[in-house]
Amino acid sequence: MRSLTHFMKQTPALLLFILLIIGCSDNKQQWTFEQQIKLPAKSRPLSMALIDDELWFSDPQNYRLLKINRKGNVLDSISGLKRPMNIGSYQDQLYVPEFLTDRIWKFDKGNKEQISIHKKLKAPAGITVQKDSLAIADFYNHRIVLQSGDQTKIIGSKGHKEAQLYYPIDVKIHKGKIYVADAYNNRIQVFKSNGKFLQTIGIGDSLKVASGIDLTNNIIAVTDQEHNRVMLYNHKGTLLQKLTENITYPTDVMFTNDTLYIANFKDNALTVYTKKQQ
Amino acid sequence: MKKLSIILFLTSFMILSARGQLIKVEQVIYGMDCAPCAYGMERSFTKMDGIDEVKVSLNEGKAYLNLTKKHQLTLLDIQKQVKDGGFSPKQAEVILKGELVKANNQWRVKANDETFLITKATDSGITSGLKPGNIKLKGIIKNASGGVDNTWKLEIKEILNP
Repeated sequence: MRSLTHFMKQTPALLLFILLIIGCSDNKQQWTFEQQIKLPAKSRPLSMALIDDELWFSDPQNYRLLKINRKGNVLDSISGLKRPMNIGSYQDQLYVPEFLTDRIWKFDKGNKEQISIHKKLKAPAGITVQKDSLAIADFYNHRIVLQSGDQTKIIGSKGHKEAQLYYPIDVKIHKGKIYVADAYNNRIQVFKSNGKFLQTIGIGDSLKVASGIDLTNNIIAVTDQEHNRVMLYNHKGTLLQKLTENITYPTDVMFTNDTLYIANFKDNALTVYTKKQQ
Repeated sequence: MKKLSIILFLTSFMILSARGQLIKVEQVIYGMDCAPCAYGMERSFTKMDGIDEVKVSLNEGKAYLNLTKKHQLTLLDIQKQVKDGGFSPKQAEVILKGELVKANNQWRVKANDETFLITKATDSGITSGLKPGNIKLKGIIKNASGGVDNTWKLEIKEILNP
């Protein structure tokens, strides 16, 4: 009788535990391949950005950006850019780092304007903008330049240790933190906006060139370029899922609602994954 | 005195004008596997004196270089730049002008400080028409490790109009 009572007391906890396990298992296998968007011949999509629900991608091989619909048809283009790399967008503005000239361009309703950066860049490879802050992956300087108004902060220095960077290619700002695709250290590093190191993600997962990053409130996606896959982590750095289907040399990822876009640089196509409905 | 200065100036100008040089180089580069790799190579070429225009193709693994009208660049300089970038220079296709001479039964072209030995791989139809003097040609240097003592082995593909 005592055992039965004890068991009944433990049942709710047991049920909760079982539900939790099921829930966690579902979180690990949520994203599934939906489609490939074939792009114009000879285009090489390096990175993506969304403006008013319209998709732009950078095509540095052809010195341009292209705007496409979900079928891959070209709607607009911006030419004459000297190797545009990982582009960013904020509200209805497009931000373009020019790898060859060390310039940052802003495109706003067809108007082109150079953004003044308070530090000398050396091959800017990625840019992200949030409100009045922008962060640039300064490739050959092995650092992130974080600029807010008149203030500039340098994050990282060349190296392989914690808080050091080695050829960073992409960067994102999310809820006051700076997420860096520390490409040739094969990892993600996270910093506070004051430069304080917070965490490393991806160590032990055999990443080879972590070249692109994007995130939501729950998930961090990073491209594992040389292994033709995209890795999904939670914000604690736990690996949730490895995406491999129809992914070839991924250089960038982009979340929008429950859709994940992947730029396949050597395949002139974007791969689309969606979250499985439960 | 004034006449002497003019003569000296004109003579120097003629010598410099006649001096051979590379005009275009299409350099195969191994190891450029990523976009920043290729574009980084493009950046470094852009900074070299004597480069008028450069484009690096990741697809083809090549750098396409147009050189300025007057420059001191050698093929060795270009290939050193590739090596300094961490990559391996392989075959190069060049357009150059220079002085064609024959010594010890070997045709050779001098351009800047380099000598290009014309190889037996050159089509006999081209070889049979060679004459000492100024020449402009397109050719291939297959062995990137040449360049010892500033000398290369070159197969002429085409004689061009000067």
